[in-house]
Amino acid sequence: MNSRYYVPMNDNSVIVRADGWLTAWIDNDLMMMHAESNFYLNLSGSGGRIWELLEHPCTVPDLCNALASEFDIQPETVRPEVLAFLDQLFLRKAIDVDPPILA
Amino acid sequence: MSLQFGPYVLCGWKVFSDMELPELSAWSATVPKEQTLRIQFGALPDTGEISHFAVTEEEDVLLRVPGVAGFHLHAAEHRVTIQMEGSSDPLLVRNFLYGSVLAVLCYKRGLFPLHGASVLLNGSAVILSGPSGSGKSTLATALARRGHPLLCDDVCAIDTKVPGRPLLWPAFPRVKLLADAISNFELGAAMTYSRAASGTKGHFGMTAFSSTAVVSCPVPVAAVYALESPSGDKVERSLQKGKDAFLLLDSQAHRGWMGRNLGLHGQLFRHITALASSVPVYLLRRPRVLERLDETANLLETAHHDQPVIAGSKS
Repeated sequence: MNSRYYVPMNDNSVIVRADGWLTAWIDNDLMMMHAESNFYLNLSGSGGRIWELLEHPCTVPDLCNALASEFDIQPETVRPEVLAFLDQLFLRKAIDVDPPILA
Repeated sequence: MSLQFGPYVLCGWKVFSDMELPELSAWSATVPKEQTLRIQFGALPDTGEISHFAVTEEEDVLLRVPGVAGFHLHAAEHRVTIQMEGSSDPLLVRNFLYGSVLAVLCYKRGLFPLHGASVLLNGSAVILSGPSGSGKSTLATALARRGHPLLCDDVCAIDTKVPGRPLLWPAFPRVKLLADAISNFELGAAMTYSRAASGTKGHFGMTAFSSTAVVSCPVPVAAVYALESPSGDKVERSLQKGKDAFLLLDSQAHRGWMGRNLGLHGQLFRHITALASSVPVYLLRRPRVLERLDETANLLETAHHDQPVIAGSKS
């Protein structure tokens, strides 16, 4: 399992939602649209839950601990998926890292 | 000296018009809101380049349909100016007025224009949506001929302001049909035809269903059916969830590109998510033969606990 960071951040970095995204739940899908670029994203499954957890800025260990607790699994088990998912959100400018770290 | 027609009712608006609009119903005091709309003949502003769609600095919208007419939607006033072109076919002009112009008016007035036809079943609006040629008007006609009030055809004006309870503002009880459907329903004598020669692309007919009750007040939306084309041999519906429901509605936003050009991306997103999260969206598959239209009408009546109102008038 890969648990290294692709996004320029580390375990101490604080992840925040990027500005300008409109969101709405439809059934179990979280639909997102960037108000300026008109770019759509759809977060399903635990992806939507991660977005909800990001309502309050948090670190990767915070996210992993919260998800592990909710799904009754070990934090290290969810970590690779969380990192891969954050990578996708970062690429699509849906999250920012505070402070940014140069890769 | 010029004639003025109206007042008519269109999506709850009180309409006065220089052009006779025989498809619209007469204004009634029972309509709950009273926004006016004036439709007048006049000259369009000279904007230099001829464009099919333009937004001016004042946020007025200009639509031009070569060979038919130009339309000027005034942002600051409740007014549409029509500039006819030479020997414009009045039915063709009305067809654009009831389609693209109505869609832009919906966007400007905070309504969601969904491409589709709608009939009243069991007190609620059932919307038949889908791309042009997918059979919306034909299916709506089959249901209207069974006595279910026709609410609109082409543009479904949906109000999503009340959370969880989208409402449809009826436009008018008329359908636009092509030759094969007109022949199937034996509506020939009741139709008003476009001037284009029979058998050509621009040939169509319009008819109003005065035999069914005219509904002018907003009605709750019960469901949206996306008509699949090409379709299967069975008549069946399948519920679309989440992003699939969203994408179906997004693809059928009437002239969605115009809404986006008006800078209303956010408004469109909110409308679509509000609708998809509060009413079921189905994909409707059915054989595309007029002889089996009854089976689809039966499915919709059964699904919405309704039945034919007019005995012996099945399509």
